[in-house]
Amino acid sequence: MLLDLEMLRISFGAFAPVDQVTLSVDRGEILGIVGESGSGKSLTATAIMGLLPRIGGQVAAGTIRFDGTDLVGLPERQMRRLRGGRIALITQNPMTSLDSMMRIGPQIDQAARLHLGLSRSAARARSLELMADLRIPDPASVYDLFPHQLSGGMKQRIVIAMALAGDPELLIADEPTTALDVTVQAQIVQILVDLVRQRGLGLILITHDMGVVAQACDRVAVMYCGRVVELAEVDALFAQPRHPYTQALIRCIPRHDMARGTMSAIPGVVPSAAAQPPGCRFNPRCARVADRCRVEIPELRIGVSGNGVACHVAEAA
Amino acid sequence: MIKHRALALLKAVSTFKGGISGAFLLLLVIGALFAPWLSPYPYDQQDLGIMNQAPSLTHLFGTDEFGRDVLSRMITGARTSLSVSVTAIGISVLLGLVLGATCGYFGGTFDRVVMTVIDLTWSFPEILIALMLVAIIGPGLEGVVIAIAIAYLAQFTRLTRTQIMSLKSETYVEATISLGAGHAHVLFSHLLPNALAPVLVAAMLATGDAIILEATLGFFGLGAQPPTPSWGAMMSSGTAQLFIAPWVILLPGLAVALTVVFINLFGDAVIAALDVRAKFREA
Amino acid sequence: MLLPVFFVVSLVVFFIIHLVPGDPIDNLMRAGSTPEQRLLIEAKYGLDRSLVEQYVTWMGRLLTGDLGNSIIQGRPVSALIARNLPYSLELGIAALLFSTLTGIAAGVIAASYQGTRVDDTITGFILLGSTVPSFWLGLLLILVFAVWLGWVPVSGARGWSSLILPTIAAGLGGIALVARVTRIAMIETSRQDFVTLLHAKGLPPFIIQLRHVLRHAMVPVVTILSLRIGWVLGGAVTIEYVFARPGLGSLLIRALNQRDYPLVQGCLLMLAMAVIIGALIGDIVQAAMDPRQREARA
Repeated sequence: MLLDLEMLRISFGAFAPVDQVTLSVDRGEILGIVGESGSGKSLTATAIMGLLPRIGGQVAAGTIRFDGTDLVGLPERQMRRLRGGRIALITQNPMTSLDSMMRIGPQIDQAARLHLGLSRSAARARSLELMADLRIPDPASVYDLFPHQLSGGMKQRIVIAMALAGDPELLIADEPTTALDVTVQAQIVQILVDLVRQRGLGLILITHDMGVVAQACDRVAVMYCGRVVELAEVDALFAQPRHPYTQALIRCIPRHDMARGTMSAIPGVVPSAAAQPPGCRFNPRCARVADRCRVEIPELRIGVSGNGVACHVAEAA
Repeated sequence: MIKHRALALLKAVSTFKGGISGAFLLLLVIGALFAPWLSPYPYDQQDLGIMNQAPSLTHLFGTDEFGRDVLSRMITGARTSLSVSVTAIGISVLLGLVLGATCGYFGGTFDRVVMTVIDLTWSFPEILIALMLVAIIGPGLEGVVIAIAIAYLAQFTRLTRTQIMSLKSETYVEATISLGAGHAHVLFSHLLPNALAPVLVAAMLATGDAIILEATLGFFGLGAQPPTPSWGAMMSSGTAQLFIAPWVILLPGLAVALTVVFINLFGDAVIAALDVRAKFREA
Repeated sequence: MLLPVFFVVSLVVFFIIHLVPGDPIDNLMRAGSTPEQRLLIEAKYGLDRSLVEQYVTWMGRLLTGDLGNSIIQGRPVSALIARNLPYSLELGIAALLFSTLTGIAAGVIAASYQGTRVDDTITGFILLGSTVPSFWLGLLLILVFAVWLGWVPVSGARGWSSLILPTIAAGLGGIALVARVTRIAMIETSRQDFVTLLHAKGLPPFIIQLRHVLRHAMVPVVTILSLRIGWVLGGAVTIEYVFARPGLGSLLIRALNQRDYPLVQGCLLMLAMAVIIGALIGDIVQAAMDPRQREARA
């Protein structure tokens, strides 16, 4: 496995917005992490990047094993060498992810110069090549532009180019399409899928869009309130969702064959970190809630298939 | 709302910073109010036999070039400095509330003209505006009060205007207006009460700056005229006195600095307790 | 923007003489002047004509550089200002440079160590810097460094050593202002996505702070500086008087105390011009910094 998270617990002071997260991703594999906002998807990504201290959080328990090395407790200097080098991040909003006061090109060069030790001109050549790979028209002139002169889709390609510049093995894309137009979304997802297939990267694709999951992912981790509630291969997940939350999420995908006015939504709201219900955190919104769900937190049990669910009712079935 | 604010004040005082600074300010106000009874000597009692004496047990803060007791003059000076600053800021806040509310609520040409002038004065240092006004009105306490009031007018007008404008666009206010409520009703029952808290906090902080400004004008000899003491006027003998009896100059300045530090600390505590920081950032 | 500002300022300054309580002619004369002198002054200032006429004449003279004569010293106001201006510029620029550089450095350090004791210390000094009256700090500096230690001259403007204490005293308020704005701007910029991404690239924090965050934080700092460049100037006015340095500030205070109104008018006009020019320079610098604005202008 390229990356292995085991029983990860993230804490901010007394709060633990992410707990008992176990998941993994291999080279050439796309793992989707889905969930509503506040489910802890982005925090998990931040933890893998080792950037929690920046926002006042920390890993309180568990391991983050990258290519055999536990990143938890790794000295900052070594972490920095991985960051942008072997592990790269693609952020949500391309509008705000680039330094608006710096030209595009040098921003892509940075990682290559830092992690691959390339000279200014070699880094530039590499950046132009990456931009061409990502089908950015006329890379040489885009190289000298400022971010505000590009469209959202182009900017997100630049962010991807920035991530690739350090020649990473693992790519974490945190909602890479949320801020983009629908037509551009599919292009960006396709670019990411192609990268994984051609270069053998591992990709963690964080999204709240089940459509993107179906289009791109090999395996999926469904998160709710800081916990993984279901881990499954994508086909199994859509064919036979086991957790009531997963089932509800899939029901919410609009389909063209649906009758008018039958859009469904999950009743209730995600509870805040300070007001978590006892027992299974989904129980107040769950259609199949049992007495046990209100007292005992279900654990994620992963079977030999690598699939698993954290639900008392689904396990009993 | 009133209860909520009283509670916030209580909360501010209960913090360490707020408690210490609040206690100091309270003592200062008491000192200023009861100055004639608290001063060990009359502030204008001259005794040329004890000129420029260093601090001692009989004269805790020493004596000045006319043999007057510095401590007594500082206590009476607190009265002058505080009342001038508070009066000036009070006038400034009232004018600022009226101007800012009118501009923010009605907008239009009046708003544009007023804000142009306000922005203009904003770019000039308060001391220059005050000097310009003192030049017109002439030296003395009334001049200083008016000068300070106008020097800080820009700040309060801007703050009130921003507050009113952001409140006006809130749904409940828009609903009240669309229900046909009169301008006066909307302004006085809905907008001003909500805009008041940040303006009052700003006023408190500005009182600190006003004390410095009063001291500066006094130092130039443009404020309180002899023999009335104010912290600034006490320092107006300047460098000449500095070499002979530095305490006459240093102690009033220290009083100014300490008072302003405590006003700022107390203001911080109140801001934290009222949770109006977010509103400050908008403005 | 520039012309209307100048117009309003000139109006205010012009009316100083007319708003002063009492007869303007009395204010323009020294005590004990003869009736002939009174007529002379009346004719000279055209006080018998209408206000508009007076303003136009005054403005016309002003544009040719004629600011009238000082009542006390009898010399042309323009000459007095010309003699004092270099000293004010010297102190103003020194204080501006000192407060900007020190303020930015302090702000960057405080922001980089946000929430630690280093930050608390700097924030404390910022508070002190904005609460200590600058003239009093000047007096304190004179007492310690000139009187007790004897390292620098007490007053005057002879050589660079006499510039040190005034620069520190005049720059203090500016340091506090610049440091506070820099600190807040750095902290707020650090929260933006692009900074997260820079960290995600593995760049060393100090490179991120200095090469990226600081550049963004400088935009509000320049705005504040350009809006309040008069701040430093205002500080300088006070400080000149304390250190008995020649300069516009000393000239103005003396004129105010002596009720030398033509000189007061001249000094205020010059100081106002300096504030306006400062704001203009700030605008230009700011536009040059931001690529979006740069393009809009090109």
